[in-house]
Amino acid sequence: MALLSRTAENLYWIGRYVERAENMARLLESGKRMSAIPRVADQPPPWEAILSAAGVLHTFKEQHTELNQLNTVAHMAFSQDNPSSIYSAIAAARANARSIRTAMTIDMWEAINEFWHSLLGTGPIEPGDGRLLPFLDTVKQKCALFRGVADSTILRNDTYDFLRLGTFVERADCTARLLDVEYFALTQPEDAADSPIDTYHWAVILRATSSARAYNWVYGGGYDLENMIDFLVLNTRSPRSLAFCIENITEHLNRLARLYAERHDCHEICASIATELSQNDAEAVIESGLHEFLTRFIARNNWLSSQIGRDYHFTNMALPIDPKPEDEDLDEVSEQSLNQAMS
Amino acid sequence: MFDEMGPSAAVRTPYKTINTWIEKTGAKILQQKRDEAETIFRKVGITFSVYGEGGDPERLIPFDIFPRIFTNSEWETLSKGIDQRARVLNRFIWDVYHDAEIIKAGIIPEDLIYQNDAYLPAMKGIDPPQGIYSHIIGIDIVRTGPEEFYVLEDNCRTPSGVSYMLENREIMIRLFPELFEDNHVLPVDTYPSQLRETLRSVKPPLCEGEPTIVVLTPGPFNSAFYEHGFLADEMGVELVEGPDLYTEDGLVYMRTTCGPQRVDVIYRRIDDKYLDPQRFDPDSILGVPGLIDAFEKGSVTLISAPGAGIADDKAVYTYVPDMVRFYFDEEPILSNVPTWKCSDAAERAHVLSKLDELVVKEVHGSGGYGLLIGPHATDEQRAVFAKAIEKNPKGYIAQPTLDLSTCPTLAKGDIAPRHVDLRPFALVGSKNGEMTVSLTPGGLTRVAMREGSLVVNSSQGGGVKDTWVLKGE
Repeated sequence: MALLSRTAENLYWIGRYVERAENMARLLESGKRMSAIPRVADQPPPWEAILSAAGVLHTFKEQHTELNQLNTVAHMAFSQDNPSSIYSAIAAARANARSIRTAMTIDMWEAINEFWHSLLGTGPIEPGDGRLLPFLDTVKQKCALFRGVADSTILRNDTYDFLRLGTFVERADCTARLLDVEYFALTQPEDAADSPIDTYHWAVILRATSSARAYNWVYGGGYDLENMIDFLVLNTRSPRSLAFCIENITEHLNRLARLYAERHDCHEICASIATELSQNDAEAVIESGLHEFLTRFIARNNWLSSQIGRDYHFTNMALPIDPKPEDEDLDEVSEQSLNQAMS
Repeated sequence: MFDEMGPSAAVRTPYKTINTWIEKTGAKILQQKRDEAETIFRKVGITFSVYGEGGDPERLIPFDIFPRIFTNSEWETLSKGIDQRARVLNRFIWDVYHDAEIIKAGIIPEDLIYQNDAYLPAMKGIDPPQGIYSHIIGIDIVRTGPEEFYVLEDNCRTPSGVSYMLENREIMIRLFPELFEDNHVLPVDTYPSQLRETLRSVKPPLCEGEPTIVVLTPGPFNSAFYEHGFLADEMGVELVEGPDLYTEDGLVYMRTTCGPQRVDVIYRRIDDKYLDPQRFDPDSILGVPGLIDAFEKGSVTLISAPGAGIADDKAVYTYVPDMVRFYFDEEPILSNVPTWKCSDAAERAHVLSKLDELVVKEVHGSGGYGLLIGPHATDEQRAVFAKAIEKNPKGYIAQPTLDLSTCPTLAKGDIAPRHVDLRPFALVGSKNGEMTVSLTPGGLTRVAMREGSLVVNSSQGGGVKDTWVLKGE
């Protein structure tokens, strides 16, 4: 029995929105930690890099003139005008969930509904009032709760697959952006490829992905560019790496192919992304340019996302149909926006 | 004034157990239980959406934890009356869209039908599966004395509130398990499976095998959206919105992850005029283009059939007892509230002279809007209605203000009498070519939460109660 296309689409976006809210919380947390250490003279304040990594620097600049913690937290956590804020993401997840109540388990609905209600009365958070880190912990916990109740209550049918597809497409996008922006920010102003990486900032990235301890287990400590790239891009044992996300996307797409006895273009796209990840090692990625590598990945991940929508007849006819990415063009666009973001 | 529980010196039989229980535990615990109930309602998201008024758009309907209780024999009487009424309303709609015998016999004036907004000329001569037009009928009933029940209104299109009947019971069992052990309350939770069976029993002629059933909702902004999802969920069918469906060559399909899938029975919770932009409102995006063609062709059953609303019009209502006599040659078991039709000159004169005593209703109004409660109205409000009646006499009816029964209700920490009405839900289906009517023992009791108020509609701040039908006396 197939799923109503709109239901599949809503589940997919619930997966994405909850993951997005969690990533916003993780980024804010790492910003808070970065701002707690003394900066080198001409180093920019962490908030700009955090806003860039979240992909919301331009909307931030439309609404705020001063770049500080108060405004950053307001924009990334509570703004109703920023569609990627924690509040907006959870409100959207809840609206999606509400319109497909029948496809969710009661536990999933209650988790998202209570999450949304709890956000209604929160904010603004003033720097120094001690509420930011506890709030971010709560957000991460509630996202984990949602994933957890979904994992333990949902039928292992296509509803599960679409929800998880959304989760991993979003996570892959977030990890790639985080790595790209942080790497870019930390290697300024010298030439990117050769400059030494500030170990402290790598530690922050690991923290933002909740994987400091895991990293130490795998590589025995000591921050090293190759290990970092291996860990966040190529290592399929690391749950926030691009390869891990693509492996999970592949698994869920394969389950759908078996269930519906039909393969689509999205399966081919996913397979080609997986191949590309498996054929590279960290050295080769650095060789080809980490930024270029990540930019290409982000574009292809987006393309995969919209192809999933087309192949499973998502009903939102307004979904943009992305052309097959032309590497140079996309690279240029991304480079430009990144430069703007950092200027 | 009749109190359902009776005076404290002579508590009526069905309320004895609960009365003893409350005397023992005290009203304070009820307050605490009510707060618990509210938390559960909010958590589960059982809400009634009210848009366009500002404030929280998802409102909780006040839930009163003091149940309204019927004995089995009281229910038997009601049940027979509802059965008769559900059959006659369906018989009437069939007649209206076929030979119109009741009009030819001079029982109901032609104008009242053919000039009525609820009458759909497009339905003339069309045979819905098994000849059934209205499959789910909510009949609003009030009580004024031990044996005196009156039908206030029939709802033949898409009556709502059944999810509250079911959820109220769930919450009551959770909060007061011991009361259910002592009281032998008949269960209501068979409703969803009966509904599903009813929908299956009227599958369209072009459906072979097991029908695919869906619930069609206008979407999350509709006030009864919670209920639409609830019913789809309980029946194990898809909840769809208009854009999820489309028609091709007179067949209806839904869009799924595996491409198109045929749909056979649509329990639609959107109004006639939005069902099909090709036939009715061309601007509507709620419905499905081509749906009425598919219905005519016999490839899909619409629950309820378009045009069924002609039977629950407030002016047509006054003729229901005549319908029973005309079609069945029987006496109506349930009485109508005496009603004056403002379209009749003599009756209009009576109404205008007694505006301070009567309830005046707009014929097409619903949900407590377009209503004048004479004794509680100001002179200006009465003057406005007098003018409106004179301008459009056909648009109004009037009824005496009934002395509605009251039921103990938890108000401001204390138990006090509040006016109630009752909406039981009848399901009309088919078995071996015969019309069947099934009625769940219970219903939605609505209660006016304010002292003295007679308005029980949820859109006007009314609350709800669980309704118990006891197995014995």
